[in-house]
Amino acid sequence: MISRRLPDFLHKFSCVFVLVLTITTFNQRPYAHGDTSDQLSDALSAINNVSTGGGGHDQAIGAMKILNRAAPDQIPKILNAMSDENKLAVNWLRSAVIKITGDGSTLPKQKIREYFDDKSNAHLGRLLAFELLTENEKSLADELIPKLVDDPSLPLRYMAIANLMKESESADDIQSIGILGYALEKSRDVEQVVEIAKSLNEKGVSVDLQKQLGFLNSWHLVGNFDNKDESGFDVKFGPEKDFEKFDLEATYPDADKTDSTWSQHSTVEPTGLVDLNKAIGKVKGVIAYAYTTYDSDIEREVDIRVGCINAHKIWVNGELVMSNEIYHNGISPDKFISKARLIKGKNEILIKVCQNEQTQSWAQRWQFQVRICDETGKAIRPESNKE
Amino acid sequence: MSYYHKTIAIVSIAFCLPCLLGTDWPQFRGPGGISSIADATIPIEFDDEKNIGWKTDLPAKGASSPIVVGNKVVVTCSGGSQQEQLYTVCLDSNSGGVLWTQKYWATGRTLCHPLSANAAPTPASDGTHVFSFFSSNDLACTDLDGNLIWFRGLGLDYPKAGNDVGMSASPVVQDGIVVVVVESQGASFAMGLEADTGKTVWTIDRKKSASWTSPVILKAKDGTSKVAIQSSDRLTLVDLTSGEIYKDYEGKGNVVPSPSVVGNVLLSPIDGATAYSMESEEPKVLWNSEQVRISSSSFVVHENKLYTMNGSVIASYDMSDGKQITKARVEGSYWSTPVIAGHHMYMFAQDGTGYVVDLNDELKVIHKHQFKDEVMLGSPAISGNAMYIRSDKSIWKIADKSGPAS
Repeated sequence: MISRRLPDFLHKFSCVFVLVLTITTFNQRPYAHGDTSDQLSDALSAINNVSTGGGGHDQAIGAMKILNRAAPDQIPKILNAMSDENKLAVNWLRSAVIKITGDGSTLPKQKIREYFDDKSNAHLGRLLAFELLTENEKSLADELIPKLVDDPSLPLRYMAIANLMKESESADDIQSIGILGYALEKSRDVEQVVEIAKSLNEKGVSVDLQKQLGFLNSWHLVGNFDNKDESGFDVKFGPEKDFEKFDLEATYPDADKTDSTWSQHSTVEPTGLVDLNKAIGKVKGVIAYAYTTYDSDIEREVDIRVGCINAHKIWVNGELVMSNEIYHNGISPDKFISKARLIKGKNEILIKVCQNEQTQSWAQRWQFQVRICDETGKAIRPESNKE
Repeated sequence: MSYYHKTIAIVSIAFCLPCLLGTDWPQFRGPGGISSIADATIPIEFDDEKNIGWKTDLPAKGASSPIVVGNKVVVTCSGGSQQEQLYTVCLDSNSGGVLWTQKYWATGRTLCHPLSANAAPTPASDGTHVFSFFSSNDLACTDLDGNLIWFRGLGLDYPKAGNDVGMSASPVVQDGIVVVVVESQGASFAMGLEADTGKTVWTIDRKKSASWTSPVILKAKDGTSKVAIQSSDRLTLVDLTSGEIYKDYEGKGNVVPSPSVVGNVLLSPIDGATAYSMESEEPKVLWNSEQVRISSSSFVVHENKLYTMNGSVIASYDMSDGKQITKARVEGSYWSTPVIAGHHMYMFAQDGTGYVVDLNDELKVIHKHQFKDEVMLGSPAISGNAMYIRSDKSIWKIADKSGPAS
């Protein structure tokens, strides 16, 4: 009896032994405890040195092996290493945190919460902290989200605004208008703002979206300059020849060798869309310029955000700030974003919009929209259009 | 790790190996990009429950297709208000349980058509790594356990690459090089990266014109590997290792369906369809036919026949000369490419309806079932005797539960 049971026992014992050894071999966390600080710090530095073109990968790949095996109590240190300046590195670091938390280990929630509560920390780092804190804890999410309407982290703010919009659906009309009005002021997302405005309109409250989002609506237009075979994108036609002596009374020889003059155009489209097919005429293979001024009360850096389905260039005070030789590739309000420096007082904005000769039905649009806002998307209104 | 530990570990892994072996479906449209497996047996009837091995909810939507590596099914997803949240999800092919999920934040343009998703390109695997590529031109390399090996944001290298429909060319990988192709009006390039490190090996500029076709890898006469890239105005063969242009054929290229490799024949949707023999040093055109009509779905090749979808018309052609054999009209609107297993073709329409076509009976639809309230844009994957299909919300394993292990 014993002799028959022994092989069974040995077999079971060896199976368990192999299993235990395998688990300990592959699942050990050598940096989970003890003197690991320097190694982790070096690893985090290596990750933060990754750059475009695969820069820093040699060191970072080795560093990831350390981070992937780090103990959960090192997560706050990893979060602290996150910087909004390096979009690549935050992804490497996020992946390490996800890996560390993948086995359901207990998280240092108090320290993660402290990191989350400090709004000076990296926006994406705080978003990750939020996800760690609220995963499987809906009640905490419900508690935190309403407090995020002013949050500098835009994804977190987006959640809070979405929550307000949902809240408004179950409120009576007066309360709902109040909630939506508050959400409108706090939102920094164009689509969300448009959606809120639509809801307010349904309740009888009209919203000036141009003003709310900072779209420029009054332009001087001149066309049509030659863009046959898409040849005009880099040609300096009259309006862009001499910014120092910009003159709205000037006349320019156009593609037909006749004189073109500036004409005033205002758009009433809610999101500031200027349809050049309507304003100038449906012509193919041509270029139009649009000019406007913007009064700023201070010198400041702003975002110039452009939606344009045609190839375009933009100058602010004579300085080229955007150049995209892309035709019929879709249009949305914040598709192209550039920084620009405004001076105190009058600023001059010139946009060149190039139409090509594509014949497809989807390649007929000739239009643009421009708005000025801060880096979060909040409108910066000109002096003449303030409250 | 001691010698003894290593030995035990290796022995343990060796014992597990048999369950890891099987027919992998490691890339978009499977091996060679031909979307067929001759010896697979997939049920010809299925519904919400019948012959459903499992169904698992996904964290977000996606137009990409699943891939299968060993007993792991990998699929990408994207979500968030701007499609900025990217996911690689790995599931156990036997149970459908989620083994791991990796998440990334998009670093490039996330604009895409509302129907599509940032997760439009299908991931690829070399059997060791998973390369997840997204419309935002983010490329993540993980191992099969979900450990991130490296991450590239190619949109930071090429900020103007992308279009508002969304990019969808899937990566391919072989011989330690992973290849991505990005062709759009703003910027266009093809890039070979070291699979182990993510460092750029070569880059070539492409015409600034939109294309959504995926590259395929083939062998030239001299045994070297080439990448076939189909663009709007040409088909280019690029050396996989060096990135040097090997051959360049001008033509009117279809910018949605992708080329396929059948043995030593390259089949490309250029000037209708063109088949090139790679048997000689100078690839020879075997046949060209503008009569081969193809729309969004790519070629399916099975038993010396070529199958196409052109809108709602499916057709078969002789692979040796491109002559049409038969055609039939079917229901539905399709973005995905069908797959063939055995003598049946499986097609999944955008509205979530799956159709089974009998190839022996003049392309007759013999079964259909709609997975209600589902959007299906990704193509199915086949491994063993199982088929995997994803929607914008879930992924299914379709297999005969009483049949042989799949």
